[in-house]
Amino acid sequence: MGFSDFVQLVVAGLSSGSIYALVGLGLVLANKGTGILNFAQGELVALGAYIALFYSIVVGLPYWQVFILTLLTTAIIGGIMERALLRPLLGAPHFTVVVATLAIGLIIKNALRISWQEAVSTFSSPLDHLMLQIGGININPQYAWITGCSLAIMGMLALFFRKNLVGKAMQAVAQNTSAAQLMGIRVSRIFTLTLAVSTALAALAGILMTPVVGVSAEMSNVILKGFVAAILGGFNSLFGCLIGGLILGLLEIFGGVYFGGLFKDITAFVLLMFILLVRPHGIFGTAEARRV
Amino acid sequence: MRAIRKTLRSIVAVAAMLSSSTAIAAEVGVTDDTILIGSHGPITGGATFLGLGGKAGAELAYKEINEAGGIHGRKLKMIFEDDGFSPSRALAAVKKLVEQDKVFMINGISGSNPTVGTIEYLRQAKVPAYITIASAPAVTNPFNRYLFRGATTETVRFGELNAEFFNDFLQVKRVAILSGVEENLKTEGDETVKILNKWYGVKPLMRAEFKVGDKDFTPQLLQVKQSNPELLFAIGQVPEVSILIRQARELGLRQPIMVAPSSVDNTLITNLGPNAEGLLGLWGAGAFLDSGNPDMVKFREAWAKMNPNAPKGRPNLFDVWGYTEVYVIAEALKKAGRDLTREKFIDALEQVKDYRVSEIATPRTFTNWHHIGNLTQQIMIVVAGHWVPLKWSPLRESEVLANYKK
Repeated sequence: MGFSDFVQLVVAGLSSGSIYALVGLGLVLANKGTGILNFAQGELVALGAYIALFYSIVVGLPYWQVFILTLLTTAIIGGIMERALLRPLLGAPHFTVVVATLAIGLIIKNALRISWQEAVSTFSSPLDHLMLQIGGININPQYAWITGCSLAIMGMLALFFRKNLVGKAMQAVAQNTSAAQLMGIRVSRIFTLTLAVSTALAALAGILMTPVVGVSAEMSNVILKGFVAAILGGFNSLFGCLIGGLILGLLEIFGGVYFGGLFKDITAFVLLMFILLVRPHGIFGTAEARRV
Repeated sequence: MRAIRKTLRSIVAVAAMLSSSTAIAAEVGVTDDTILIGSHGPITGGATFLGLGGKAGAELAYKEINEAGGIHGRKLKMIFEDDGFSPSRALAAVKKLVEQDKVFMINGISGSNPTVGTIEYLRQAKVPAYITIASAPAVTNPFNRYLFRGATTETVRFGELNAEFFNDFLQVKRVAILSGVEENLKTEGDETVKILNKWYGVKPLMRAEFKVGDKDFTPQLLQVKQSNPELLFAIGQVPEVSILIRQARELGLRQPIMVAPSSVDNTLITNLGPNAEGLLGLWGAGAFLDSGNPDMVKFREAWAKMNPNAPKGRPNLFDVWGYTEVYVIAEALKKAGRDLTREKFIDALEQVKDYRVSEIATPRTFTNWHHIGNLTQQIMIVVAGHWVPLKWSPLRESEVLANYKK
C-alpha cells in the first residue's frame, strides 16, 4: 500500500468514525440525561436523512437550508417523541422502555419504507463531485466536511455543557434528578430538551452520511456502530465517544484492507471484543464504585 | 323402495351439479369472465425499485388489455403478494397464490434470490410460471415444462456477451471483477470468468465480492488498483455501484467501468453526476427509457397517466419488463383459445416466436425444448448524462441453447 492510499484510508476511516461518534453521542446523551437507552436512534438517523431528502428533492431547498431545517424539524420530533411516547413510561421497568424504543424504531423504519418510494437516493451538496488534491493525494472533501462538522458540533456541545446554564442544568439532571429538581430545575423540560438534542444529533449523522452513501431505511443499522463507539468510550463521556468512534472507523477500514472487504465488520467487532475483555468499562470508562 | 328412489334422485342431482360446475370452471383460476394471475415481488425492503416497477408496469398492461376487451371475453386479474426480496417469503406468497387464491398461473416479478426459493414448489405443483425478471439458471435449467423465463436472459448469456464485448470490441485482457455475493450478481461474475477463459483464454486479474447494503468499497478497490486492470467490471445494484464507482474515481482509478444490467438506470447517472460519463452496461429491453422512440414515448405517457405522482427515477427497466411480459402472457392466452386450460396455455407459450408488444421490448421466442424467451441484450454507454446504445452486436453464436437441444 502506497502512502497516498494510506492517507486516503485514514481520511475515509476518520469520516466513518465521526458518523459513529455522532450516533454514539446521541445514545450517551439520551441515556445520561433521561436514563433511556434509545434503540430508535438508528431509525432517527434514517429519518433525518429522509427529511433532508424531502426538503431537497420535493421542496427544492438548497443544501444549507436543508441542513438547518432538518435539524430543527428532527429536534421538534425528538421533543414530541419524549413528551408523547417516552415520558409516560419513565416509571416503567427499564426493559419496558427499551422495548418501547425498539417499537418506535420499527414504526419509523416501516413508515419510511412505505411512504418514500423514490428511486433517487441522494441529494446534492455543494461539495458534490469535487476533489481535493494535496500533494498528489485525492481526498473527497465530503469526508473532510463530515469529520470537521462532527468535531465542531462536539466542541460546541462540550462548551454548551460547561458554559451554558441550560447545559449545566442538563448535566445536573443527568447526575442526580432528585437533587436537580430540589434546586429548582424543571426536570421535565430538560428531558424534552435532551431528547430533542439527541434526535438532532442522529439527524445530523444522517444528513452528513447521505451524499456519501445515499439514503435507505437500512442506514438505521448504523446504531450498532454507534453503540460500539459509545461502549469503547466508556458510555459516559463526549470525548470518549468521539475517540471510540474514530478508532472503530479506522479499525473497520484497515480490517477490510488486510482481511478482505467481506470481513471488515467481523474484524472490527473481534477487536472490540478484545478491547472489552481487557478493559470491560471501555477505553475511557471507569468501574463504578459499589458499596458492599 | 321410496327411500331408495329418493337416494338415487339425490345422487343424480349431485352428479348433475358436479358435472355442470366442471363445465363452468374448466380450469383452476378461470371463470366465465376472469383469469386470475398471481404475482409476487419486493415492494418492501431493499429491492423495492424492482418490485414496485414490475408491479406498476404489469398493472398498466392489465388495464390496457382489459379496456380493449380482455382475452376471449375474459378480464385478466392480478393478485399481488409482497415477498420483501426474501426466498422464504416468496415461497409463502406463491403457496398462498396457488393453494388459497387458486390462481391460473404465476407471473413472477421478483429477482433471482426470491424466485429461486419458489422453483422446486412450482415444479411439483405443475402450475405454469412465467418468470419475468429472475436470471438465475435454476429457473429454466434443467428444462421444465411449467417454467418460463421472460425478460431477463439466462446468466450464462450475460457471461457470453460480457466476454465477447471485452475481447472483441474493447480488446482488453486485463480485467478486474467486483461482484455482489447475491445469487444473480455472483453468478454473472462466475459466468463471465468462465466464458472469458473458455473462449479467449483470459483469466481476470482479480475478483472480490461485496454485500448488499455495503457503504464502503475501499478495501476491494485497493486490490483493483494494485492489479492495474484495463477494465473494471462492477456487478451490483444501483445503490452499491453508485458508491463503488465514486470511490473508484476518488482512489484515482481512471479505467473504463462496465456495470451489470441491473445498474443500467438513470438513477445511477443522477447519483454519480459527471463520474457516470463513459460507463458501459448491458440493457435488456428495446428502446431506452428516455429515448425519443415513438413506442417508448407512448409507454411513458400511458405510464405517467396511470402514475400521476410518480416517484423520481421511474419508470425504470422493471416497469418496462413488468409491462412487456404481461403482453407476452396475453399473446399466449389468445393463442390458447376460449377453452383455456393450463396445458393449452403452455402449448401456446411454446409457439410464441419473435413476439414483442412494441419496440420497447426485445423479441420473445419459446419452443417445446427451451423456455428462455430473451437472448438479446444491447450495450449502452453514458454520453452527456444519458444512456445511449453503442453500435456493437455479438457475432459468436450463443452456447446457451445447445444444452437444451433435443
